[in-house]
Amino acid sequence: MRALNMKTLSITLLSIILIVIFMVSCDKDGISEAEYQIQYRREAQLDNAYANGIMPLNTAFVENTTVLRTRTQAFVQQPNLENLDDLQNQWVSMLKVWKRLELYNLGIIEDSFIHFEINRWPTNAEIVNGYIEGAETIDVDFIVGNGSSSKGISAMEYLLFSSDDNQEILNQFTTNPHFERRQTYLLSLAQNLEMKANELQMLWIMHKTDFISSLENGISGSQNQLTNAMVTLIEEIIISKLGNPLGNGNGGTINIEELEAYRSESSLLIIQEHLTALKMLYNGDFTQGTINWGFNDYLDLIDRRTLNEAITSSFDNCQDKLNLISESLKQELLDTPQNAIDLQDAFDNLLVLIKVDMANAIGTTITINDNDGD
Amino acid sequence: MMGIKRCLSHLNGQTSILPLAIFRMTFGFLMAFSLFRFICKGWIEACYIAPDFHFTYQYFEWVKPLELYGMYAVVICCALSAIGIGLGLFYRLSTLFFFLSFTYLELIEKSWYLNHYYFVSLVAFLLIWVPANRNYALDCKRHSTLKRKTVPVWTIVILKLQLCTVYFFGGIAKLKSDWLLDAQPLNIWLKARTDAPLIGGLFEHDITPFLFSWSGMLYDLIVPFLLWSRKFRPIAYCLIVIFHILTYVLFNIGMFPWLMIFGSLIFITEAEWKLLFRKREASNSMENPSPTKTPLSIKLMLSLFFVMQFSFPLRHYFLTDNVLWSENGFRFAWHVMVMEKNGYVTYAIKDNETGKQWIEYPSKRLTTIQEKQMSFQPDMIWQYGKYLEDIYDEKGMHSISIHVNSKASLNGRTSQTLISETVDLTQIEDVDSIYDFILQLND
Repeated sequence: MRALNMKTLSITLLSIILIVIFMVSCDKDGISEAEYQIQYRREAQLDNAYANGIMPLNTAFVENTTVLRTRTQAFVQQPNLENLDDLQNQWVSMLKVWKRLELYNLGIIEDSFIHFEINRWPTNAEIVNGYIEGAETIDVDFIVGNGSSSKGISAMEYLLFSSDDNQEILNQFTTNPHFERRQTYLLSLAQNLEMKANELQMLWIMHKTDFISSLENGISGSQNQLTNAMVTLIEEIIISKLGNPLGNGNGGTINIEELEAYRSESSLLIIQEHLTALKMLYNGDFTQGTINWGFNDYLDLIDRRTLNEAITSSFDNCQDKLNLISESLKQELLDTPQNAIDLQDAFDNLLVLIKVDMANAIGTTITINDNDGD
Repeated sequence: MMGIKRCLSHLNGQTSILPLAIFRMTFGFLMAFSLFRFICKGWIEACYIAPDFHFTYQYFEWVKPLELYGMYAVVICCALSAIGIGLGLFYRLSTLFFFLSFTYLELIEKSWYLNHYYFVSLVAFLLIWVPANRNYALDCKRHSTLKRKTVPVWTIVILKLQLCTVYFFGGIAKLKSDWLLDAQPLNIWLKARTDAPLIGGLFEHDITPFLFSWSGMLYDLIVPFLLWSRKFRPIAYCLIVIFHILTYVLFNIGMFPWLMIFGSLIFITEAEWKLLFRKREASNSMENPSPTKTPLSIKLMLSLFFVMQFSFPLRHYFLTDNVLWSENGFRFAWHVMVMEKNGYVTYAIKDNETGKQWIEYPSKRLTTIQEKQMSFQPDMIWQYGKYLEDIYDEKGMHSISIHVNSKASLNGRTSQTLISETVDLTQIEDVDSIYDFILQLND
């Protein structure tokens, strides 16, 4: 009898707890506006990143790859120095857009490996030459079927910037052996790139609902994924884009061939675009004159203003160190590698603040990896 | 003296086998589900196959993974033995194999350590020694003489004790200033879960993490005692269900909540089950044809087991003044969900003969989870340093120095250096010595 009473009591207690939780959680008036907006801001941050950051970059990338393809066609039809110069300039313009968009390798985009298809570096020159010197029919289908190390942005760079002398490059497309196959290969690469840019845009359009509605703090939560994307890119800069050329992996011997896009001397430009993209995402400052919500506002909202200031200052420090490099990164490594080391240290500092401090503050530790408990 | 005698007499007395059988079934089937889930999530590859290097446990460095198919075979057999436990089929063999295989799986990789995996190994060990297959089991169909209605009281008490150990020492582990005075890490975690259905709005209040922290601590410390009391058991079980479902909804903690919810059924007696399902208790339900006798050696071994269980979780009080920062004595001590910690580590390597220098980024050689777990755990940082020493030695560099740049952030604090950058890891031969070089944590 006593046990039955206890059972009734337990059910009553459980019901009361649930009712109280329900009532309190529905009471928006009981909390401050700032507290209530934590949730609202996270949603606004994702909306902002998607609408003002990711999608405009995708549109610009599609446009740039289309122009790149038309200029490639113009160059192939009339291979001359002027058209080569136009094409090279357009490749750089497209690269600038891509290096900002490259930050957003997350969710189904990451799972699709499309970023590899668009830009995997270094390109494998041996394989590219093998295809050009071979006998197989070169067209877009051929490029689609090939591995990522022989296509995309890097393969185009190899063909367009294979020498310091543009006349020598032009000769490869006009008089050197296999010049016609080289032209066809170049055009197919440009067509493939345009196709991939459109595919990427479609993936993002399909991913929209998932991205902006994944407000949870789980591994699939978009804010978490954006944090991880920032961490991944900064690590890439530190380890591959600066560390390897500085000789971090070979005992300290400078190796400029480890630089990304060293042939076009775009290595510094790439890091600059990455930094701009990272800073824009962090601040949410994608467009002028609109309400821009980013991680900075989120940190302010959860009372981590000091950390926000430290991260902002670290971004500025990265920019200052980058500005100290006046020549190309290739030349800087040969002349004064200390500036590149300082730049690497600045990114190192930024990484600690994002990967350790910010991740800790916004609580991504328990979810950064799917796991099974604690 | 009389009290001890009475206690021993009670432990040797007989009680219904029903709670033990229910525990056996729920534990077995839950573990089988857990292991098949492990396979389906691709964790065999991620945990055992993908890493080139494994973080082994001290004194268990000899435990190594098998090849892919070998690991699949072990996990599948482990799951089948769990089903055997659930069905009560080939029970002794099933429990023994489950304990050995599950413990083997856990010992391979330290970065995948979880408190509840440790708990499973301990329970599996205890199940070996109890006759949980003497009723409601297929073994009884195979050999009807096995069937018993009762078992010695101690066979149920040891499982209850093991369960209470998790709660009680989990509560002790929460008696820290971070938890009680700063409501950390719940302050961080709950603020990040304002999207939770129904209760998310609660987490926007500053007071909520404090309420959760204090009630969580009190819950852990009190609920084991409530479970022992017949009077308060219904309330205790309701609290257990609420608490663990809440943690399941809020945090990504896999099987742990279900293990505790179903494990706690061991406290519900046969009489209470009958009352719950409105069945009349049979007057002769306690009759037993021939009660089983327990050898003294088993009793002594189990006594020693619990002496260890009650003392081992407290060892960190003698090892360090901040177990969350140094993690000296952190594992196997029921430190469940008590910290939010992140880290970042790089290694500077110098060839003392040529003066050449390298920077080693752990992500180059470790999996994501390994890198992440290693980045804030000093013993693993040391282990990886020794691994690097071996790699460079194989490359012909026999005189190198390795210094670590380690930054960690604990429970919302600003990141700080964890291990002194002056220490040369090649000079530290014993893992315990790394704790001498942990820097003080500043608030």
